[in-house]
Amino acid sequence: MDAPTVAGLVARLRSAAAAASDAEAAAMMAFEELLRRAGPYAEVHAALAQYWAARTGSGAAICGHIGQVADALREAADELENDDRRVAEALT
Amino acid sequence: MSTLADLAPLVDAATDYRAAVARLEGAAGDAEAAWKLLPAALDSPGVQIAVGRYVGPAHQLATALLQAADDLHGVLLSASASVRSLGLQAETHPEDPTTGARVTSAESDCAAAIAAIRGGEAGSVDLPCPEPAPASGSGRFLRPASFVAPIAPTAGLPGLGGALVDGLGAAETLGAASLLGVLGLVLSLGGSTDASAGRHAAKRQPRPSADAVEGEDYVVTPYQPCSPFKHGDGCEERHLSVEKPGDEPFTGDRVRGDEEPGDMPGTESDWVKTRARNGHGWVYRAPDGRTVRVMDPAKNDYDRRYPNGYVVFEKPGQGVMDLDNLPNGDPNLTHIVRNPNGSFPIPEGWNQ
Repeated sequence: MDAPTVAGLVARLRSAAAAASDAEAAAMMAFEELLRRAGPYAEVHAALAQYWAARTGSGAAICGHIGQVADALREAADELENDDRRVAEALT
Repeated sequence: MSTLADLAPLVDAATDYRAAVARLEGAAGDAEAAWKLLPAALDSPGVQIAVGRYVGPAHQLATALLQAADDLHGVLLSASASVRSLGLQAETHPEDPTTGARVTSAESDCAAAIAAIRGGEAGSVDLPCPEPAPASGSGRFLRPASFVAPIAPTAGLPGLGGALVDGLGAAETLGAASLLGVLGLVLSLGGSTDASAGRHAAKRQPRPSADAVEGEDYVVTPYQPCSPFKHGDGCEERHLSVEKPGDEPFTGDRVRGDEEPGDMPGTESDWVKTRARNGHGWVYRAPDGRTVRVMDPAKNDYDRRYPNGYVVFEKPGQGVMDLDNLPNGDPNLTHIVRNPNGSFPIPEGWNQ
């Protein structure tokens, strides 16, 4: 197996970020449906609304961190590439 | 007020929700697994920040959300079974006057059980989430066009519906502008301050001009030599304003880096010594879980920021420590540079 590279890992992280984004959207839609179906039941609906608000109220529960991670690793890769470039320039 | 007739549709929706959260957890787990494949030779302060601040907490959050979704699904499944049982009893004993009250009680019990679920609440995981800011345009969390914020009953919990709508709005406002702010935070790899994080977003642009750097406290990482190629002509020694750990005069004995436990400073004889993943150092693990990672001097593609190597002190449940023996999220203060003779300072009180 090839040794993992930063670029390969960044690509994998970006893929994970995209999957996470899709999953977040699906979760929101599914919970919307759950709330809609719970509409006739006041107490259950209220509890579900509270449940959902607790996990989205500040945006902290869903705010794209995995995508940020990929960017951070890309930056790390940039750093390494620039290190290599500086070394190459110093040798020529 | 309606009473519970059949909760099966709710169970179905909760199943879908749980499945979506499971995919979210899977994606976060993939991200963490991907990082674990990263060769230790590429383990830079920036990667430490990426993992410590984002990958680990994101997976932790996703796991907690999945646990909560599991619990929610379980509660609704149980309530559905109870209601179904009550329905069968009502058919068998239609004259039973208590059936209605028992159904109402089942609804209350179900609501109470949902309210008691914990896991994944905002603030339960220490992720550096940006404050939602007004922004135009589409964000990645823009809810589907069909999404309608629930305005159905919130009896018994005044204002709850409003909180939910606010929460959804907050997610929606995480548009391009706020994400750029977040990117700035991430791009402050290796020692920049949050205040300068926004400016660092521009660091991704190919070669900023000297004007863009001049006059700013443009610290990429205090111990990394600036490169005019990357940071512009304004990046000079004066920008390296922070004294790095281990810069102080040293008088310690020479440390090869492969000493046995007990001989390696900061360790005891009952510690376990293992090779670092990339073979460029050693990890010493105490019975209580503390570790000292002693990395070798730079070689070839190894991290050239630490020509004499570096050392990382870590405590279980606390993370990496600075020289004050305190958890510190700044890798510039936790990657303790080794002196030319291989020795290194030890966090105050580390061995106590």
